[in-house]
Amino acid sequence: MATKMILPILGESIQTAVLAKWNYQPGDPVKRGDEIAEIETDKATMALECPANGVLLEILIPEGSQVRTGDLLAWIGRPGETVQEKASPEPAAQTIHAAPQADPQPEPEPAATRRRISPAARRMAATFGIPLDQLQPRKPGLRIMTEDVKRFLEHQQAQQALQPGFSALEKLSGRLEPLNTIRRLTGERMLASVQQIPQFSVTVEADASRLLAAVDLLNRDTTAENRITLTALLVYLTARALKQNPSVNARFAGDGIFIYDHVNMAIAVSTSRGLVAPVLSAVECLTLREVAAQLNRLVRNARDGKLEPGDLEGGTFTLSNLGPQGVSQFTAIINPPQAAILAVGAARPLVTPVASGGTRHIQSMALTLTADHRVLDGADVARFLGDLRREMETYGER
Amino acid sequence: MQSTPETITPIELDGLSRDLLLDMLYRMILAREFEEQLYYLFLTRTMPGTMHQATGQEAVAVGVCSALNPDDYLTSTHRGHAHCIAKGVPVNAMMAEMFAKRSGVCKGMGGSMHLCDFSKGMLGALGIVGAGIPIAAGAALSARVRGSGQVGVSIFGDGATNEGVFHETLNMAALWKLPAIFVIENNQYALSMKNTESFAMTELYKRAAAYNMPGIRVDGNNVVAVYQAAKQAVERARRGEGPTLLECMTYRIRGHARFEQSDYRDPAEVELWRAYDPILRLRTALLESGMADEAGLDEIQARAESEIEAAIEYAEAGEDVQADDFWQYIYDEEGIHA
Amino acid sequence: MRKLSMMEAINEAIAQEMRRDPSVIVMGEDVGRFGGAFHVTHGLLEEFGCLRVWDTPISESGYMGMAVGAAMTKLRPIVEFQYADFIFCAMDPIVNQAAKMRLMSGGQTSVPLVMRAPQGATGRAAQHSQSVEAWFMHTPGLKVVTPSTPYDAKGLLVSAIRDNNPVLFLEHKRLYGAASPGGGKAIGDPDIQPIGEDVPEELYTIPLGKADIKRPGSHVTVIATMVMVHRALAAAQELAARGIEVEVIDPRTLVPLDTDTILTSVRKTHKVVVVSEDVTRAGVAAELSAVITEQAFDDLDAPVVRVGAANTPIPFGPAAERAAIPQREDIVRAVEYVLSGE
Repeated sequence: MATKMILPILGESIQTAVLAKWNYQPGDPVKRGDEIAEIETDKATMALECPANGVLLEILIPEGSQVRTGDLLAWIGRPGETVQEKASPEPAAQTIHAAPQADPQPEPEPAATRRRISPAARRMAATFGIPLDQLQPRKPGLRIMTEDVKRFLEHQQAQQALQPGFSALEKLSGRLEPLNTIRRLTGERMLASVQQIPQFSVTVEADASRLLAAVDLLNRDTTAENRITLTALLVYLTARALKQNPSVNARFAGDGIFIYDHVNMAIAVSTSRGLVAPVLSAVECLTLREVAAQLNRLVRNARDGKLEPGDLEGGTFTLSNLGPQGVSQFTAIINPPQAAILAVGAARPLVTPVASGGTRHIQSMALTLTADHRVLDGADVARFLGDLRREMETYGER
Repeated sequence: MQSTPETITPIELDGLSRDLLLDMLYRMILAREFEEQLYYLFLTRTMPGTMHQATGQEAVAVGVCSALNPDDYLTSTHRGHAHCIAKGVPVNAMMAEMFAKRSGVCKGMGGSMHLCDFSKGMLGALGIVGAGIPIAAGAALSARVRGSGQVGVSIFGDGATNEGVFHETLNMAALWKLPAIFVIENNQYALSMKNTESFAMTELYKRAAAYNMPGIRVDGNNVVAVYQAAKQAVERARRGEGPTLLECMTYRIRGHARFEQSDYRDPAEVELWRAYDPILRLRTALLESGMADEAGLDEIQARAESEIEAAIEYAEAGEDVQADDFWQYIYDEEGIHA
Repeated sequence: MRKLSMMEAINEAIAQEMRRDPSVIVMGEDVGRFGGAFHVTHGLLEEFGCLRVWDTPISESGYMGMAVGAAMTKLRPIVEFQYADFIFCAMDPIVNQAAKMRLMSGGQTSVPLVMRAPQGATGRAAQHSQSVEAWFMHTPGLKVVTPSTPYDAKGLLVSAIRDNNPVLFLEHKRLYGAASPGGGKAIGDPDIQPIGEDVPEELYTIPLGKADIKRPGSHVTVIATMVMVHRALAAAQELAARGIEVEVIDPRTLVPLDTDTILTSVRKTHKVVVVSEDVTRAGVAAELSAVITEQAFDDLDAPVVRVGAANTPIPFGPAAERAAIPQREDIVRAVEYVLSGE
């Protein structure tokens, strides 16, 4: 087999050289060690040694050519030998895979017939009460994973924002009323409140007889704008009960409970444009008449659409009275970031037994406090409502 | 078969105190009694694990250990009961270990082949042939680093000299002149392999020459000869002149382990070596020299027997190892070590 | 703060501990006058002398056994094996004595020694390239430490020296970051990240058994050791550009293993890839996979995928070595697989 003559490494920093001269012709006999060619570098001229005994078969690089280390310059072999560039061997047939290791697996079942659900997805579905047969993978044949459960949940929540029976509704006739700003903001706030605040409600029934009598009495000789409504009286007394139960006038602050110095009570007012809650500031410092005057002004402005932004800010507690609408009892949703909201129903005449025998008439009014369980426990709420009830039932005794 | 094994030399009592000689006799008999009682224990009741008896080889253990200080280091083999007793390990704790009791010297965690008592410098019988050789040399290296003057002694069988680690260790110990002594307890068999079948050269003490250290062969059933040779090697080591290879020629009277019958040995050979029993020979030498009388020697025998009986009682009374005992011994998280 | 290579950090850890504790000695081939085949022990013989730094003959089994004897008699030897492949010459004293003495003696003794060895494939073919963790993870009584940065290496080695148990401290040749006096150039690698190079000058410890989250992420957990930490971080960068956030956890020690950090991550991402340079079969990743699957099965979206070396002795030819050892693209592919649901 013929021997290749290759340009060797010439020196540390020498990249290229010129093949200046061949000292032999093809067909000349040569011996190992003969100086067969001359190479010129920018540093020196060197001789190239013949690598084998035999005959110079073929010169591949003409004199004067630039050459680099590793270039094939010539062939040396036996006389008459033909030179064939040896075909480079096929790359090793087996490729070694580092990962994942393909251990022999049983025949995979057709994707369509086999439903795969990961353990984590099963557990997540169980936590949220999702039947497994309602889950779908991103593409047919893939394993159902936690991403698919999350996707299902987001879809479900989007659905629940609309009325139930959505799909049935699609087929019914009607018209779409777009949300105005107040409605949309109220919706967002209430959704956030329900999602983020663990809230619970407690109802206490108080005898409002004294309050009703007081309202009658106080409003003789009063102008319309100074009229003292039952709501104003409730605001006044609720503020007193809040000063006795400061943690109800507070908010959840992450690593603590922030208890406000002042009672800024927001009052829920229904207007043609939606529900607004203007705020009476520092109620605990106001007299009853002052409370009434401010409340009347705010309610009027609310209904007239004349509230300033400042009227709506700074509320620490909310009171909502649906008594005038005839509601006996209801549960309100907390107005974030407050810790509680009081829902008051209408006073209903009631006959109740007396311990010593006989009966008496009362005006039963339902007071329902919805509270943030991160801030208040049932006992705290019960205490507050008890205090409020006492305020109501002993009003005017001083 | 010769009438006398060629390595037998007469016992010379000159220059040795009576107390030392009687103590050596006592400890040889104690070791013998330990082995013999164990033999019957294994025959008559269910004992956990196995044992390898050193019956007939006591002079090597006692002779070497008599030349050591209590804080010198010793490593031994799977056949290590006599070495432990000679080094001063309490026999009742050893017996309790054989019975797998919590009161055993290794808390029932090691058994026969791993008996050790670090408070007596006994770093361990070990079940891997040759394992103790570098460990003793390492203890000697430690003594050198700390400048403590202690020596490290390894007693191992003839078979161990064919382990690579024997050669590696002797080379390093001699190269660095470590205060070590390497003692070959040559009982002429490695389980069933007679020495002529496993050694290209059967005079093992000559291997020392390859490492430029002194190699000596002595009559291993002559406790005085062993003692004298060991004493010289210890003094040499303490002077910083390096290690010695001491080959002690002896014989294993019982089988390799438990009740193994040693069918590979010529019964005449066994009988011959019985006649050169080391305990018998010292007894005879003491009587002949007038250093002791029969009554005195019988008293020593009786004392040893009752010490072993007490050890067996101690062992039987001990608490068995419980299922969860071992967890605390896998890692040292307490910051305590020897 | 000054930046150290891993070789310098290890050298500093040994020297500072030897100053602090006279019972620490160093043993191994060419560690003294030559300064170590990878320069790690340079300067030690000059500073501490021949009673503390021992140049041994080529007798791994012998000097390892001697280290065990010294460790049981009041010294704390650091034994160097010139290449991790040679540690197999010393398996008996390591596995049968060092690991077992404490138990066999019923707690009478401990074996406070450190075995150090450089490992990893660097073109020196099968007998100078192996990763040996699994053999020793499988030996109770030993601890196994696998640092990936100079900062980790120094703190972990100090802890290993002070530990009362036999500790195998493995070093990856590609991470040394310096030329060896044996004539080789510093072995570079484009994946190696410039992390953990700030090494405090004072002595500090990193407890054994505490993993390090080298990169937080929320989509996939990749657990990797030694050089593979760097490859995993490089893979994570590539994947981040595609919106995939990989959490890279470096266990730092394999025995004891910080399962808490690992399982917390698994419970967050539900997808795990374990990368180790050792042979895949019965290797590091196999053990971690079993631990994770047993303890967090219901938190998994996909099987735990192992990325390890092919089940072969390391071949010589560069393309073959590269194919046999886990590369960055193998990690990327494994992450894609666990995300795919296939």
